[in-house]
Parts: sequence; structure tokens; C-alpha cells
Amino acid sequence: MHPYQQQPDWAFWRRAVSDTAWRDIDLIGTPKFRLARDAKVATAGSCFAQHITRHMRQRGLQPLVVEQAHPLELAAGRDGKDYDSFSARYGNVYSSRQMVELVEQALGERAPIDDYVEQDGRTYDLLRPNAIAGGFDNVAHARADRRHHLGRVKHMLQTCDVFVFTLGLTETWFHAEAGHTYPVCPGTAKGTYDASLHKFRNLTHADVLVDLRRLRALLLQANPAVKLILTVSPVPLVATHAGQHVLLASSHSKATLRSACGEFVPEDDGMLYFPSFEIVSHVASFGQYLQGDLREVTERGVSHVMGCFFDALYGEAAAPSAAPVPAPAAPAAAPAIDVAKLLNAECEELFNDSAARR
Amino acid sequence: MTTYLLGMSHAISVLRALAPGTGISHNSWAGHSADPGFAPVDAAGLPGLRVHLIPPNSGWRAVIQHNNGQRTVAASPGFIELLDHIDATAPEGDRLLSFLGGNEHSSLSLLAHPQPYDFVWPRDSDAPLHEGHQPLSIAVIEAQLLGVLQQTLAQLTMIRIRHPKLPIVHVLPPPPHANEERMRASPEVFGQLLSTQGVTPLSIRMKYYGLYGELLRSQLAPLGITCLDAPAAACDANGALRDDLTQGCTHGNEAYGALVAEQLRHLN
Repeated sequence: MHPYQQQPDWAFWRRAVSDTAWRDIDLIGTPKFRLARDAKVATAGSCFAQHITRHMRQRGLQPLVVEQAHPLELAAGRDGKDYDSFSARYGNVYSSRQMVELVEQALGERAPIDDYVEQDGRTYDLLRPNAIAGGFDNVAHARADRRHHLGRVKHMLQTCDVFVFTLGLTETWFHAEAGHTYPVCPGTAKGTYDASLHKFRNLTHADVLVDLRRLRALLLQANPAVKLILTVSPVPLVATHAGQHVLLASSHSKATLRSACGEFVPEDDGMLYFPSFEIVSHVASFGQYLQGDLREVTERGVSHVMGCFFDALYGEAAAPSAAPVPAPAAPAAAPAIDVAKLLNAECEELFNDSAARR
Repeated sequence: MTTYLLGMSHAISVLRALAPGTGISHNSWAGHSADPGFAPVDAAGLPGLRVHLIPPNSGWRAVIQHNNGQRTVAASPGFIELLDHIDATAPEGDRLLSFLGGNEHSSLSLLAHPQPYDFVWPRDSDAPLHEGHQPLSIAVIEAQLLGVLQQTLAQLTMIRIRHPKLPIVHVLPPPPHANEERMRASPEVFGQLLSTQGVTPLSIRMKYYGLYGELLRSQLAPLGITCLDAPAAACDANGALRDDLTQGCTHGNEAYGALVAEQLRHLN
């Protein structure tokens, strides 16, 4: 008798992987906790995280949305899509460091970060350069909106039952003097790159672990009962500044994030890791969920990931037959849905690759 | 030399100040049935005054339609007929004072919105917005205001078309005031909603009022129509209507009317 003889089937590659169709693989088993149908689920993270709110609505679940388009904006012809992707209008949050800084601002642990740029007669918030279509009227408007946004994020943190955070990258850019972290390098999406101000930092395993522990502490400070679900985006880096081939840099980044999650999640029964990354990106999937560019995830892959997510965490409560819930910000006279755009969650990181913009 | 005064509710307090003998009041205006044309009124310091008050139930509508670069103005026959009572030759010294509309900004801003909002007014961009209020682009507010201003703008445009040479002064209504007790005592068209929805913070209503005036000026200037601001003496330190000059939710009282009347007497 040796220790492996007592392990369940999922502990053995041959029984759990080799002999199982990828579609049927159960990577989660029995999760540490489940979610009620009416659980208040807040979402944030990289572009892949945008799929969660969309799929929740498709299954008749209502994601927590604390920041909505104003009816007057819709009446004035705005489409309100800014507000559809996540629980609040923070746009894509790619790194653990950016997430921590956002939560710190929301909870008053850090002063609001005002870093705006005027471009083409509009003002953009460099901490969410693509999250607000068309930007703001002026700096005063941008500052006011940032404070309102942070208030809504605070409300979200205080009221959600579970916070789902999808980690995207370790490569970050930060302001050399003020220290804050950008979602993308200034100049790629909005603003102008200034080599003396904008510095590169590739977060290490230790950095990410510190960030995750800080994030968890802040979440509990705001809301002692809140659960945390971490995932790692399976979408590779669109570009790297780390001085090695983008595939290697992507591997490094994802491995760092995955490793940090693996070390961090067992620290607390209120946290679990959900394997989006493995379902799409593990070599055993034969790349079947990748689009032609070998980067973007097909809708079939997204559906597989989301199916696993809902099956594991909600069980029968989130059967796909449930009546879909419309996005709360949907305009009364909805324009024709752009299916391609719907499927390709907008990824600011794309702006790192100027060729992808053409 | 004739001064035509064409107006609605905001003209009443001014008329009471100019010509106390008319007996017109906000209460009587509701049942007012205007004679065709402009009635002569004996007004102190404003000789040749002729007045037409459009009753609240006139049903007169006017619209401006934009189609393929062309602008078409349409108004109710009764309104167009009324304009025929203005001397088309526009003798020197004739002018028209417009008190048309005046509550457009209040109709949008007085009742608190269930999803509270605020906006930055560039003239006072340092003023903090109300906490918990969603900051909206000023373009959203402008679009909203322009929508409700169409009726007044169309009527004034029609006057200009019918009387191209007539000097026209559009008299702006009084600014908002802070006296919610007085509003509830006389809620005007807002009725019960005033209690159920509450009142928007004054600073936001003031911005609406300021933007409303800016939009009117910019829209009317190409028509050669000037705007007359509310008398500075009627405003408190915040620019709001002085408490002792208010009537109901949105109007000025007779003392306010007297200040406006004094402005009118000294118009160039």
C-alpha cells in the first residue's frame, strides 16, 4: 500500500485525461463552495473576464452591476456598452497590481489616481483608456467620474457575495513618480509614451502573491463574508516588452500567475481557483479552442469554460434553458447586435500591437 | 411706437407690476381666454404696450423640422394669425418682448431623478459635483434641453420669419430658488411628484438654468433675437432667485416682476 493507491481517479492522468474526451473532463470536482442562483457575483479582470457577465445573462443569472448607463445617456443616443462588460466601468484590469490599486482607491486606502490625457478634444482616463467610449468632456468631468466610479466599486465590494477576478498579465507599466499601474502602456491605446515617466515592470511570483494577499485582505475588510474566485486568462500576451520571444514571455506570465494562484488559494476556504486557463490552453486540448491567430478563444471554447464554471459552481441552478436576462443598460431601441463584436470581447491589450489596429 | 408683449406664465408678474389694473394673476391665467391680437395695456413707463397672453390650454404647437439640409418651421394657424396683428412695416421704435416658454429647464431639472446625476458646467468647472450623483456629459444635458426648447425656438423662429425687421427681445425666466417649502405649498405642474420624487439640489438646477440661457442665446443670436437676463438684483450670492421674490416652484412674484419691468423700461 502506497499513498497513490488511495487517490481518486482524477489524480491519475491516464484515467482522468488520456481516456476522457476533453469536453467531458471534470477539472473542478467538488468545489470548496457553491453559489446560489441569486448570489451577487461581481466580475473583473482581463478581456476574457468579459465573457462571464455575458454568459451569466444568457443563463438567466443576474450578474451584479453597480454602474449603469444613465437613462438620459441612452435617450441621447449612447449605446451604453461601456457598462456591459463588468460589474463596474473599470474596463479591463489585467494585473494583480492594477486590481489592488483600484480596490485601495475604492476603499479610501489610497487617494484617487488622477492621470488623464487630452486627445482629439476629449479627455481620457489612462487607468481605463478604452473603457469609456469617447472619453470625457474635460478633466473635471473625468475626475468627477473617477470618484463616482470608485464609489460604485466600493459599493460593489461591500455588497457582492463573490468576486471573480481573472488575472491576465504580469507585464505592467507604471508611473515612475506617482507609482500607479496602468492597464496598458501609455501611448498604445491613449496618451503618449514618456520614457522618463512610464516604466516597465514584470511582476514576479512573489509580487503577484503579495498582491493577491493584499487584495484578499481588502476584500475581507470591505465585506467579511465575500468569496473570491481566481482564474487566469487563457489568452496569450499580444506583445511583450520582457526581452524574449512573445510565446516564451506569455508562458512565463501565465505560469507565474498560475503558480501564484496555486500557492495562494489554499490559504483560505473562501477562495477557489477556476481553470479557464487549462481548459483552453493546456496542450491536451490540442488547441481546439483557438482561433486562426492561435491567440483568441473561439466561442465554442468560451462556452466550454463557462459551462464548466456554471456546472461546478451553480449546478442545476444555472441550466442554459433558463430565460436569458437582458443587460440592464440595454437601450430601449437596441441597435442591431454586432455578433462578431459580441464574441470578441474588446481587449485593450491589442493596442500594444499596432498591426492589430489596422 | 409699439411694444408687443407676447408671453405665458412668466409674463404675469411683470404685467402685474407694469399695469396693476389688469387684474391678471397666475390663477386667472389658467382660465384665461385671449382675444385675438394684442390688447393695449396702460403701463407706467412703457408707453404703447400691447399684450397677448397665450393661455395654458391654447394647444398652439410649433416645430422645426430638419430634412436634407432644409429647415422647415410650422406653427399653429392661431399663432400665425396672431402674428398678423403685429405691424408688418416695423416702424422705428416697435419691438416685441417674448416671454414664451420659460419653464423648460425646470421641467427637466426640478424633480430629483431616481438615478441621480450631475454634470460639469465649463463656466464653473471647479465646482464639485454632488456625491453619489452620476456625472454625465454636458452634451447629454444639451440634447435634453434642446429637445424641450424646440417649441419656444420654433415659435420665435416663426415670429422672425413673419417679421424680419422687428427687434425682438426674449426675456429669460427667473433663476431657480432654494425654498422647497414654498414649492410644496404651490407645486404647479409638478403636483404630487414634488413630494414623492423630491427636489434636485439647487446647484444642479442652477447649472441647468445657466446652460438653458446659453443655449437660447446661441440659438437665437442668428435670428437677431437678443436675450434679457434676469435682473442681477433679483439674485442672491449663488445666483439663485432671492427668497423674497419667489412664487411657487418656478416663478417670480410681483416684486420680481417689478425688477423686470424696470429693466424693460430701460431697454435700448
